[in-house]
Amino acid sequence: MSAATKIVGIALAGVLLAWLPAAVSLAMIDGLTGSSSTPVFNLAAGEGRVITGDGNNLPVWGFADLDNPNNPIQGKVQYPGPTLIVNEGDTVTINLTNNLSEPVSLVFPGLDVASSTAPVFARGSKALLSSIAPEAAPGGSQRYVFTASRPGTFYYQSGSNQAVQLRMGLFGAIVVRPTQTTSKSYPVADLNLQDPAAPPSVPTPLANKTFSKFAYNEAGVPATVPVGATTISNLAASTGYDREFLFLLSEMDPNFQTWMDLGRDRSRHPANFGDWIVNNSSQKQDFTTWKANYWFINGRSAPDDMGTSFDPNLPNQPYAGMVAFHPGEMALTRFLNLGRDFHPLHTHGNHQRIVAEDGLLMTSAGNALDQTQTSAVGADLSTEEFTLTMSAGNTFDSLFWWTGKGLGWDGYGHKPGDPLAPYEYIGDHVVASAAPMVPEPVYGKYPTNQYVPPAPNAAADTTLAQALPILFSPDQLVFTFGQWFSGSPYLGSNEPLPPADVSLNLGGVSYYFMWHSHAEREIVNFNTFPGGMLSMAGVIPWSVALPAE
Amino acid sequence: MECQHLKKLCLALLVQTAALAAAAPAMAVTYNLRADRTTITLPGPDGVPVTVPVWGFADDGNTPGSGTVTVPGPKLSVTAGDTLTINLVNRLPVPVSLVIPGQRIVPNANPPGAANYDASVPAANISQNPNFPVPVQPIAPTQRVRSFTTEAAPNGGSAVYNFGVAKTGTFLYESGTNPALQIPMGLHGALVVGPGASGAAYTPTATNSATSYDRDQVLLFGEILARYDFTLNRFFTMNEDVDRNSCVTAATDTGSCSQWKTPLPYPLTITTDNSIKSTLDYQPLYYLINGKSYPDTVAAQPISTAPGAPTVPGIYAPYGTAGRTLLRMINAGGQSRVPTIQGSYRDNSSTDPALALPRAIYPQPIAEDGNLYPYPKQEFAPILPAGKTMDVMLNLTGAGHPGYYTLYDRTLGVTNAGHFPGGMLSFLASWDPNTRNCSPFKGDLNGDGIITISDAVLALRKVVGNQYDANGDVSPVVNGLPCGSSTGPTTGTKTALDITDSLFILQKAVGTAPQPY
Repeated sequence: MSAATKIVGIALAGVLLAWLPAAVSLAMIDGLTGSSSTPVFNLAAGEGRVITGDGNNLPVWGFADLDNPNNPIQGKVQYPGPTLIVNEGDTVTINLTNNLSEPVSLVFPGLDVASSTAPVFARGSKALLSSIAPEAAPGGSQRYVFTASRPGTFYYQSGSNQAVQLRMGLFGAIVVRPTQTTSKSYPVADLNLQDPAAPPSVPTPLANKTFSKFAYNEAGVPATVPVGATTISNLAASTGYDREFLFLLSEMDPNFQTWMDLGRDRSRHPANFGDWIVNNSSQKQDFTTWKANYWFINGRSAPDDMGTSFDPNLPNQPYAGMVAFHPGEMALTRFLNLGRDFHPLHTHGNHQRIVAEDGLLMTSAGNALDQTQTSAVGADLSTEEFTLTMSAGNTFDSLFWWTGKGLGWDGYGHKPGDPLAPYEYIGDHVVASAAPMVPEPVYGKYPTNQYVPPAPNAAADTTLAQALPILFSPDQLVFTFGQWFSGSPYLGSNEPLPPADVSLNLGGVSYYFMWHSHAEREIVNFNTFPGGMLSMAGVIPWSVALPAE
Repeated sequence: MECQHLKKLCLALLVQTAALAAAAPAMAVTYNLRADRTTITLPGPDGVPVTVPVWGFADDGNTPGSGTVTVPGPKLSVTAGDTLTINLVNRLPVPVSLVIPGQRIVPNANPPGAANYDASVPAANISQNPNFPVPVQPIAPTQRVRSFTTEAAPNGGSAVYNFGVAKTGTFLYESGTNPALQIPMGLHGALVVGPGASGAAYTPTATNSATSYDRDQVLLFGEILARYDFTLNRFFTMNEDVDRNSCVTAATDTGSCSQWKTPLPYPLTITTDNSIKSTLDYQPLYYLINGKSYPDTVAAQPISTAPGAPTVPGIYAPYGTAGRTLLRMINAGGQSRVPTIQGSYRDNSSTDPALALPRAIYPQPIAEDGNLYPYPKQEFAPILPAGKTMDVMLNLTGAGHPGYYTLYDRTLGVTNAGHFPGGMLSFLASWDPNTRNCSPFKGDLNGDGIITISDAVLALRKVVGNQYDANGDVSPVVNGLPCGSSTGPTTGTKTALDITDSLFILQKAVGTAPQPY
């Protein structure tokens, strides 16, 4: 938010309270999609500006979409560049126009580039290497063609003057969707999750988790695999998902960006990273001490990444970076790190399953590049982790779901006789018992293995209240802080919030878990917490609609 | 099991082996290394070479003092199954030792009682932590460990390191003394053990079976650290500071730094502005692969050890049947690197490169720290942290046409003193110069390193005179790469430069050469 919009924001706090939750995009992946099997994207490299979460304003170099009338910011430089969404098998053409004052080129790691990938040595001189791929001269253009032979998460980035251009933001994501569209089911009965199609009053374990969307092809992947004498579900080898998100990570040293804006000799091309030496009475700085102090998800630092996509207040940063899904929905997040620092991305709420790296399945197939083999094995080398090590230039595909299973208490706060929620872990659901509900004396659990709830009026109230293993203070102020709280510890419930408290909680009844860089230094905006590489993952109860995918 | 290196002392332990009557005879490989000072020259900004003092290792072979000090130190090669012994002679003014992470060391190989601690008494007591709540008297330690293993004493001392039968794989040897200072000063190098039977880098397994290679290449990543002096308005490398520091404290300093006596130990190095620095105050200024930064990384390199072997500009990674290149990546620097290989090759589905299918290069890490993975990985952005070794297979057996592929550090160590291009940037030259001499630098007929109008004039004269010139034979250009005729003048596909060659050179000279697409 700029200073101006902050003032407006304070003045209109009441309006925002009503407006924000409904308008939060909770977007899937925003981007440009190909209209045929031979999509053409016309991009232009140029200068733009980004606004950080603390109101700073910094210059960037980015790419603009020149020709898509459906893009609300057609023609404007974006940070990061437009996300290109294509299908496996497409032959993709990118026409790059260069509006910068130095050569720009594009490289496509992991993609089968049909146009030349030969480096450009001006006048055949080693010392005059200007690009590691064919370039667009200032004011000129260059054409790139690649075949999207394999599904996966990829990117494009500049291959020219990378020390400057990659710090300035000349990169963007490429998503290649697989050909597989036939749905596929994996047995999950052992998870004991309530079948959303069954009557909610009857505990009915979901037999199969069925996917119709996939990150990679898996038509031949077996639904079960033998482990010794038994057979287990092969769900962990699947890349099926219900909702899809993208997290493109990057960072900036504001001193460098400011120097690029105001300090450098603009007559010198290309801009020279080594010229960044400031030695005056107020500042002493040299390029070897480049150190980020802003961090971005999809080009926005917190809290802006949790706003709406295509927010007119952020004209060069169209993409929001916030995740939201219903309990039991599988969320695919495509992670890309296009900064130069490492960013350990940490999920709260559950572990994530990393099914692919650098656009290739985590597979035991002899050659992951061979899609027929990966289709037979699936992501069988996938790993569960809660802190994803992302080096510069890495991409990962992550699957995450939240059901509340294993909490040990009823996360929905059900009372005896209440129906089950879709995908609720049946083992934690509060059930009515014909037998007297006598708590076990040591651990304070009922025979159903559920915690005894606090009974404010214990002597009089013999019915089960709500099943949280701690005493929940009636004084909301003790617990209520943060804009993501519903006033209730239970999913699907809300309670009164303190007067004037602004809640961004979708429907007022959702759970929110922070997803952020585990290098906690990076969840600040210019040293001030909170900010930076931080976003929220919303668990939205099924009673609240999410956009259809 | 053969003695293939002249500088190695190869002693067949025939007696012992015969007595054991077990496997093939193991060789005892001994290296005589010397730690010493030298200087290296780096391509500075704006083309002005920069000389940096370094500490490095030399391979003295059988003649003490005969070896050339290099950074990184000499590549040590041991055949699988052989034993490795390193005799270290130390000509530096500070104690030095040697460790090889990943190799076991034979216990008690060195005489007991050898010093590996600092016995000097600090000039002042170490002050207590002001935040510590309980008053404690300052403590004056008298001994402080400074080495991980037995030292070679300064100014001529020696030590012996016996590693027994060396473990197969790629390893980093480095100083085990004051490593925060001595490793970035240059005391590091590569050890390659193997290949084993049938040319395999590691014993293949059922799930990681492709461990054999046609060529291997060590890529050792390092850094030259520096700080900016805001008084003198210039960079000082840490090497300069340490080196000068060694001089000013010498009792009989002759100004040449040849008479070091009492160098100040780490972490104190006195700088020109009299501030006290530690290695934390230095950041990478130059980024090195095998001791060189771009463009020196693409100096002409022979493709084999045969006399007069043809050269390629960069790392030779041929394609076709012998197209498996093992890149033995080692990070001797202090920061994590992401060695990225960029580009797509043309497969062998068509004789015409314009019609052949493109394939992305996916480097395939097969082993890490000398341990074979259960399954190989395929990543275009593998992480190479400090101290890591990683064996990366580059499989170009499916390629059918020449290519020139970029290898660079994605953490942007691609500058020389801040100037792009530079640093950890090199190219993989994928063609056999015996049959087809491609190069992006062709067209430079007068050999001055740059294509100018005079090169175009020379080419035109050759055309008119019906003469051939290998450097001017640029056409056809294969996928953006000037390759010229496939067999050269002797077999007759092109006996003289043609107008296409001269036109391309002219366009290149004036900067209007069409970029390939």
